[in-house]
Amino acid sequence: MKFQLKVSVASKGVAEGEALVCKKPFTFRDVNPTTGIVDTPGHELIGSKVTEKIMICPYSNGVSTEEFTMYALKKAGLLPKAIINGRNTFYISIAGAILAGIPMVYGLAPACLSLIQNGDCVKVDADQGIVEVSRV
Amino acid sequence: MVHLNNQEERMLNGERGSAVQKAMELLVRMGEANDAQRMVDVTNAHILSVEIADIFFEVTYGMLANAKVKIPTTTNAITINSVERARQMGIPKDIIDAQWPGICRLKELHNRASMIPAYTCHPHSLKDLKMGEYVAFTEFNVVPLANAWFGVRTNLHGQTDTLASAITGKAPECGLHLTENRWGKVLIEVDKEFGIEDIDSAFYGALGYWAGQVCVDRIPVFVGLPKNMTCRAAEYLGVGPLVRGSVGMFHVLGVTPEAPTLEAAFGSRRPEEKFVFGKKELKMVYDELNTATKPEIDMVCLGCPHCSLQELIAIAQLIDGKKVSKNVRLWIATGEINYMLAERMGVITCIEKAGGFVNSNICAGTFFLLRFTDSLGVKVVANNGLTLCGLVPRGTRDKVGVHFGSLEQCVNAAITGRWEEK
Repeated sequence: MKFQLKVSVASKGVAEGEALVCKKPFTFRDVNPTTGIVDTPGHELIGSKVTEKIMICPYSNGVSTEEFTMYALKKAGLLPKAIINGRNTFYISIAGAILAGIPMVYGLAPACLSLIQNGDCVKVDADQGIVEVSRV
Repeated sequence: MVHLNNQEERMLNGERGSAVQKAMELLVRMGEANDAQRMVDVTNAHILSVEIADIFFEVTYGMLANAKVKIPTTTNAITINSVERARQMGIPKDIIDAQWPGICRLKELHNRASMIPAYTCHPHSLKDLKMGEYVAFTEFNVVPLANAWFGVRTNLHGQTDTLASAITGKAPECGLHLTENRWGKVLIEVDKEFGIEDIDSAFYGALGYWAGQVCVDRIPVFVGLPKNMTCRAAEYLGVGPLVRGSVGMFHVLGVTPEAPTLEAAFGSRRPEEKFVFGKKELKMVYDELNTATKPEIDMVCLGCPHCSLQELIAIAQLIDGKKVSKNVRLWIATGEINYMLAERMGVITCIEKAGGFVNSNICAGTFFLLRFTDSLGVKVVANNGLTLCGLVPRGTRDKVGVHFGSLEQCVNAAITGRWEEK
């Protein structure tokens, strides 16, 4: 199965990888910067590694140092390959994605966003504003 | 598509140097990502400088190179003010050694770029803010207070785009710059069951936190708060919607400048939702924020955000003639000007005689508690600030228990070594 979604672009670039879906708003504060693994107790993704994944969440939230956490993860080679948000609410995460040089897209209604599932192969083309999802 | 005027085009074309060009490129990209139509002139900026100094230096230098800021730009609190002081506070040598060189480089960079080395998370009093003007601020408590209390217009900016605004004097017009995005969406009524004696700094923090939970990304309009509430109270109130939600703006009916009437606060629209904040809700917030399971405390942090002069005076009055428990560290942080005034008033001597540490320029403790709890040996911390309270449990992965309450409760806990419920 294969489908395409049209998205708005927050940070340009192209990336392809495996989907990691977070149903709640996501912040990189919950990721251990030395392992790339979500380790906040009670977090729905606890134990998951964000590295090299295509991170999918309703929107990014976080703290004012979100940008630096993303940059630190980038320096450690632990960042996800791209970020897909349902809606675009957190200014700093956009700045963080641009700073870290990874694609970030948004503009998917909850029903569209929920079409993407954990493990799907996702190609984010943030130059054209297209997300391509394929599932075996 | 962001429309640029001639001046902005010239910046983008590199006529004002490569740093300005790079900055304008970023602002245009941020503008595109936020559907901005044009750039606005920003008159003032505030940037971060805390956390891992090396990374801050790298990012800041990457943005600034040798450029100077075009508009007054203040800097947020740092982690260590002097090596000697850090040693006195009991910060382990390896942390000082790791942090200090980066801080020195960062400070040098700030000076070279002609920034105002304020090193405070309450920079508003150093700024000449005029209602309606555009500014570019970072930091959780700085942004909501600027928008709500002073009526200036800023989004919750990141470091790089704030730096870009600082060296160009521009920001893409979007979000909270636009009047229609500043109107309230949710009405929150403070229950009349609360008496004036119930409403202290912790109450404002708890109310804000709860509002963040129910509003998420919608602007709250608070009704029923005392008309004589202070700027400091508004600061505590404004942090919550950001710690718990993602809103950098709020209104207090009859108090904040954009909410003289409900009609003005809601832009003549009906609230999407209405809530009442009563004793049940207050208890719920206190239960959630008080994660410590035992009353014995190791540390009290006050000044997150930086203490006002009035708070320093209040702490001194509470602690005068008493001693901080030998098992407890009492760390108090404030801005340099408040520190100097408090020193002249004898307030600093009074607090330090009792065994507390009053520090200017540095972060009250959030940074150390987030990163170095093990080295400091802190297991339970008491505080009256929501930023620290909201972040510590998340950042320290259950290593530190938190007690959250009023300034009085915190100072008493520092003296007795035990947290007492109200």
